[in-house]
Amino acid sequence: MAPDLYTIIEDYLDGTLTDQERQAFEADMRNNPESARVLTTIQEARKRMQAHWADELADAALAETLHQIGSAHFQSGTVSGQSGGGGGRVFRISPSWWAAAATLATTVVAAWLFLRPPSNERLYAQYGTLLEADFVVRGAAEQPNLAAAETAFNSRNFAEALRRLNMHLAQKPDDEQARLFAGLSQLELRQYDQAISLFQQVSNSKNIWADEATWYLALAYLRKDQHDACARTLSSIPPGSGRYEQAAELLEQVR
Amino acid sequence: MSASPHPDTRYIQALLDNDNREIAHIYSLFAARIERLVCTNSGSADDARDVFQEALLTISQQARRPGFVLTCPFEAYLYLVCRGKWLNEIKRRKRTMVTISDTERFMDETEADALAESVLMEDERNKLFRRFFDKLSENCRALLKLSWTGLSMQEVGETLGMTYGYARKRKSECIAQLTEWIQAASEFSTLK
Repeated sequence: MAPDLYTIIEDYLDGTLTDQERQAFEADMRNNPESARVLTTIQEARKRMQAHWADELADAALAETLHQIGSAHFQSGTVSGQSGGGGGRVFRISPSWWAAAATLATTVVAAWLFLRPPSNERLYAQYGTLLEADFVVRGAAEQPNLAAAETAFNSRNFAEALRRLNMHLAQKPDDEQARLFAGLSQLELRQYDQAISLFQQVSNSKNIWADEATWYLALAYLRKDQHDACARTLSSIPPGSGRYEQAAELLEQVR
Repeated sequence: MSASPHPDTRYIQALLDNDNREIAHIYSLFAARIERLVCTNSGSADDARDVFQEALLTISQQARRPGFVLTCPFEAYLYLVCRGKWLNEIKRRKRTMVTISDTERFMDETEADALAESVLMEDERNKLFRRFFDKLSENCRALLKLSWTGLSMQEVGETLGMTYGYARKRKSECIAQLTEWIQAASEFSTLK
């Protein structure tokens, strides 16, 4: 049975059609505006949803910050200008009360910010600074999947970066840098088990990327809420590593 | 020639870095003006807080896209994004045509207006796609998310306990439903 339009469109967008199938599909799209409209809608849906998922973590961390700071700057429950309805009551409060309330609110917010237990996601947002992919210096120009993965990763399109890195690794299974970035893409896509497996492989390789992989392995355990494994992994980062100080700092917080 | 970034790009960077200190500075500088805008146009301080927060989130999302450059003062841009968001919100509440009264004017307002209009349009279109995606069944949402974030259909099937063939068939049904809803929405052709 021939696959339906939606299946062919997905295969086309996933890049899994043969050259002959792709050419036939593109010709069909040129001759059939209704099918072409379906293709562009699905393309747009994929692009917008992928961007949304890639932003989820950063959005959640920023929303938390805005929520905390915003509460101290907007005076909830009172009207601070004229009411648009014309009939609203305006509460008049003396300046000394405002000063006392502002001081109290600032103290409470500051105390809460410092005393509350750090959540995994907040710690990840604080420590999980992403590396920049820089494969071109290694001759990525001759390896189109690596060049495409670099562009995708640096523009935070982790699904596409992962897809390209997997294609590259199928041809170059010993490329530990590519494996590390595939792990980082999985981590951003919240596919923790797969990310952990990749980081473990790079970490055990004793390659120049091993320390970086160990650091991100710890962060993957953190996001998975496995604090013991996270602490053990952080403790294994040696003093000579560029991640040693960060690891010691994070270790204090997860113990 | 590409436009050069405005010095106020540091506020955008603060949002991208989730920099508490700089973000608190943004609130100190600009929150009062937004509160005045919302409270003089049928809203409350709580509404103003929500609009301000949503606008900063939307601005940061847009700033993460490749090619984004802030070419105007941040205050004008933020004000116009908040204004647009509040206008949309009161339209939603009153379900009728509404206008906003304000007398605020800024330097480089044309530039800020164009940038704000583009970010608001993008935001509304993102919401349209997300609204219909969220309307899909849980099974469809999980399947499409796994597939669209890089898993092969073989892996998607294994993750969800489906055969490869059924996973492909189900995916096609889910996408057909999503496409039908999106294309039938009146905003699909108007929000461009």
